Amino acid sequence: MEPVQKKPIEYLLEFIVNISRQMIVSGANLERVELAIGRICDGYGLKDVGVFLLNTHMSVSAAWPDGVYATRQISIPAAGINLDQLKKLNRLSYRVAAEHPEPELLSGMLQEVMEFKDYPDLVVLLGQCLGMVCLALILGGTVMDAVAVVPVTIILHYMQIMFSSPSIDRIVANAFCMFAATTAAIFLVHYGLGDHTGTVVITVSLLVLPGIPLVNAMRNLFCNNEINGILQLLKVALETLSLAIGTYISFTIFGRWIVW
Amino acid sequence: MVETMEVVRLVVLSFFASIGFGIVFRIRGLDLIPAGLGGALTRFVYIMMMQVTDVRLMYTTVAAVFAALYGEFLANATKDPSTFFIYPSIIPLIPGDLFYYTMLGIIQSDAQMFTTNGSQCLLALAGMSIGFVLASTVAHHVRMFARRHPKVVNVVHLGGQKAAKK
Repeated sequence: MEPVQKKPIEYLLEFIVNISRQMIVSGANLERVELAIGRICDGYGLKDVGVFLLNTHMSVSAAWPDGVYATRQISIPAAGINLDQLKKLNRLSYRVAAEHPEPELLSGMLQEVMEFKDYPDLVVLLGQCLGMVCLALILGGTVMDAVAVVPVTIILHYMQIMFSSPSIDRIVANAFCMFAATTAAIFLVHYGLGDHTGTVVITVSLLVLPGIPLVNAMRNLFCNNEINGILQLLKVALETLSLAIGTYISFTIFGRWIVW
Repeated sequence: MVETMEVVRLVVLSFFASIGFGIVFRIRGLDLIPAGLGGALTRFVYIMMMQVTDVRLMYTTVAAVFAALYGEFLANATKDPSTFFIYPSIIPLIPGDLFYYTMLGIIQSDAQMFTTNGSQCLLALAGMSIGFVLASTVAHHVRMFARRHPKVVNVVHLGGQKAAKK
């Protein structure tokens, strides 16, 4: 049996859903993705473009200039933030819209952009430590608090890597990570590294608190994206609740060693 | 009044905090400089506005408008996503501590902790959201104007050509 030949519109929509998925996974907000989709569709002169976009699912339908219709839908995995990749994907969307290459070539172009070199783990850890030390001082901590934040950040970093498997529930992982981080903070301050347990715990919690998704959720609510906003807000609230549970359990068990 | 040295200390710390988070967000090379600068300037605006008003909604909104306009301006010039510049800039504004205490208030059944921190957290988040919406609306209209009047504002077109070449 001969393989079924795909139509150009099918190649193009496949590219559109894949680049959109990668943009969302890299931390793009939905307006940015809609703009990119619109730009590519305009570039190829597509007609009757319909887009349904959530943070977990998307569907695009459109007609080729000759009138052939097609639809593609795709699920979107949990997102992180990779702004360098987002920048490259955004530039690819501009390039495709400006040059409109043959639709058959698009998946190869996307593949090229996706083959990027990530920072070594140690560099990311150093970035986290730098950010956390500065935040500890901004939040009113002493120099010793800032020093205590470093080992706790390292513990949190490796705990997050350990729990990064998609099979482990994020809420459970958050509770475990924060329990370990809080316990480490309590004992470090108790044995003289750091002055205030509270400051150290609040600072390191900012590393795992979903701050950007929280802002995006509120922004979606204000920008007529209510369904996305409510879903994101619920997810963020549950994740933060799990962080607080981890801290609370640690405070309950090891409370007598806390130095406020 | 906040002392000048304290302002400088907080602004410098915010610069490095935003660079640190920029690395965590996988920003590379020289792009880390505008990321750090965004955080520092946003912190400066935030502190200055705190001297003008005690209303959290107000000073957070103004700081968020600044962060978003800073991101939109750089995004327009480089044709990169505005989030690339906004995310590291808003790190100093995220009310993580307030949100955390709100959740802790729920778990510990501490109504006062929950209501005090929860209301402040909501005000801060509302301020940030209003600020972003205001700034992105302005940016949207500027883009529309630039498309209609390419001779008056040619930044968009030049940026677009550069982005396409890359």
